[in-house]
Amino acid sequence: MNNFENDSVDPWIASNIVTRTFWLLVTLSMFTACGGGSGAVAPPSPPPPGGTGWQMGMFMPASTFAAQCQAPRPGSSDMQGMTVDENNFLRSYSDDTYLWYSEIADQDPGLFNDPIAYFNVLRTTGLSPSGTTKDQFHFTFDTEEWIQLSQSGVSAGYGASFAVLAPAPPREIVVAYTDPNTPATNLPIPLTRGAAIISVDGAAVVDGDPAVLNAGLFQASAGETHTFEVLDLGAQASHMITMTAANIASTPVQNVRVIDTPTGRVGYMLFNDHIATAEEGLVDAVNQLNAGQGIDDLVLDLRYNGGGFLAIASQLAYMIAGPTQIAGRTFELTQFNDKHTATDIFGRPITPTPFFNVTLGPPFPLPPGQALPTLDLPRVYVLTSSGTCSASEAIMNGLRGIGVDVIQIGSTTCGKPYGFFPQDNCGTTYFTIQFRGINAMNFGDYSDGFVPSAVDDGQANVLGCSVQDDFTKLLGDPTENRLEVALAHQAGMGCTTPISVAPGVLSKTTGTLDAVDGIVPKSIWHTNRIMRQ
Amino acid sequence: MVRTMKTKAIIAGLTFAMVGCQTLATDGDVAARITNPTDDSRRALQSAVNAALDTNVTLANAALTDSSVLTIERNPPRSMENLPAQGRNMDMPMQFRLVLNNGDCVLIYTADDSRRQLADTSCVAE
Repeated sequence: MNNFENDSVDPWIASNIVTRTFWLLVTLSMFTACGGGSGAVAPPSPPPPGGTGWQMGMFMPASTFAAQCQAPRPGSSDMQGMTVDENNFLRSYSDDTYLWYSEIADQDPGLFNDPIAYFNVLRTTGLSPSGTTKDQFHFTFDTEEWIQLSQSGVSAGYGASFAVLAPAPPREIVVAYTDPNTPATNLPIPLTRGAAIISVDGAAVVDGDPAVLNAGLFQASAGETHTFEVLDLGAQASHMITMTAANIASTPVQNVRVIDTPTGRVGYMLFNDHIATAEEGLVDAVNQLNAGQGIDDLVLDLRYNGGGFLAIASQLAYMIAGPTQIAGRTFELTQFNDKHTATDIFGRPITPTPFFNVTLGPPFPLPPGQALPTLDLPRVYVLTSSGTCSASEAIMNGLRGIGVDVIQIGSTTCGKPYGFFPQDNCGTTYFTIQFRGINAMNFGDYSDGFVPSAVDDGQANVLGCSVQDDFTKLLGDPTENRLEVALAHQAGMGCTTPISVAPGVLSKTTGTLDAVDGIVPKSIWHTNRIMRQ
Repeated sequence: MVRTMKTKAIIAGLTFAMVGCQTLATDGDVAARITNPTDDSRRALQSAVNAALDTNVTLANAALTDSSVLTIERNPPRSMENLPAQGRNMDMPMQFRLVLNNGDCVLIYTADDSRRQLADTSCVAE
């Protein structure tokens, strides 16, 4: 992703040239500021010995400092440099590409001994309308980790995604959903949503060693075997299972079904990941929903969908709305800072993402140019949680932008109308927000998330109902809290209280798992520490 | 001596022609999928994919057994809050195709059309 060309100039010579050029420019700019002068204006003082030449508000091109590393990577194009070179790269790169570059407090890069520490201050401290930090997505990855690849949707695990309802003692973990044909579902008694994990390799979930719990639940490599005590949904007694982790292919679209109701046929689909293989799953799902009598409404379950390929989001939005409602409008337009109004940060023309109406073709799996099926619906119910993020939010925003009624059932989404082009320098990949996505009505300010509300204000408040997650029922079960409320709303009842949590009404089961939200880590990533002491 | 060297050169040339990325025949390609995968065939596939992308790639045990197309993408790291790091992904995935050609199973990397013959692998036309 590094877009800066390295040349073969000796780095020390290059550094000197850069330094001289910098001070020449400073000098020229001062002469210019003074109207050219008569020769009586003294040149600026040279930087103090050992200084960095930092001048507040003056920036060299980031390419000047790219790949000049305190510790060059062997075998790479990195050049020997200093920490201040890495800091200067970040400073210039942020000034050029960061969405809110003018809100960065310019600080001397020579005062920071760690580029990541310096990067962390190269951001706005501004607040969102709700008073939270405006930029909540400023982070780095080790480049070696970031560039890892996998077959689409494949990662090491058991085929069960766990919801961490309480990460600190007394902890609570349940299965959020499973993927078919995996170790989790090939058990004599398959794991299902709602199964509680009691212990892992002898460590009690409630208060056991977090290292053991993390190793067994979230960090198992293919071939590793672990033992779990589980309490299946609705069971009275727990039992032991043993699972061997494998490289599992996830199924991003699941549980597609039609629910017959007195007020029409309501389609349901669970969509968990915007990965490349989702294209075929979504096409199959829409064809299934269109079969026979078709559907009158759709409930799209995005509660565990954190995003991915924006093109996939665009395709699904098209399939929901259909060609008539699209009427030539765009799905999303990318906006950069005011230094990049016509071209993006790489100098490419900024073109809107359309509502893709055909299959994308290679390198996506399906053959190119096949017309996508459509549902042609004027409204859609979307089930959400704080894990509904980015490309998933783009579906909601894109559809609202063309006047499709989006009704939100669940909890507030993550609030990520932003994106970045990850940038490597010296072995660290930096993520700094560089663009926001806006819909056909020029709206994209939902950094606090989409909020289910009594009234749709055309902005971040979306018509809908606030309903917590319900792990006592399978996803797609009409009595699962969020789907239940969606179906009641579809029947004209407004925002009802789910039966299980209504006062004075008998709970569905134990009543402990039907009004909660949880973290659902989907991928093993050893830098994460899901459990806490 | 000269004859021996010539023979070695011919053998070397033929060997390169048989396994070299750029010299495998392209006529008669038929989309194919792997049948009865073994540890050896998985190793061959893994090696070919890793070589094409110059990194280690995580593959499913059943890769290319139900389709002739293998799609590769970044394995998105997740944060503690379960959100993909790059939730609005503008990149493109990578793609390989498996073809059957003159009885050989050949993996094609579509980005550069490089071809790699898979040893110890059986495949059938899709």
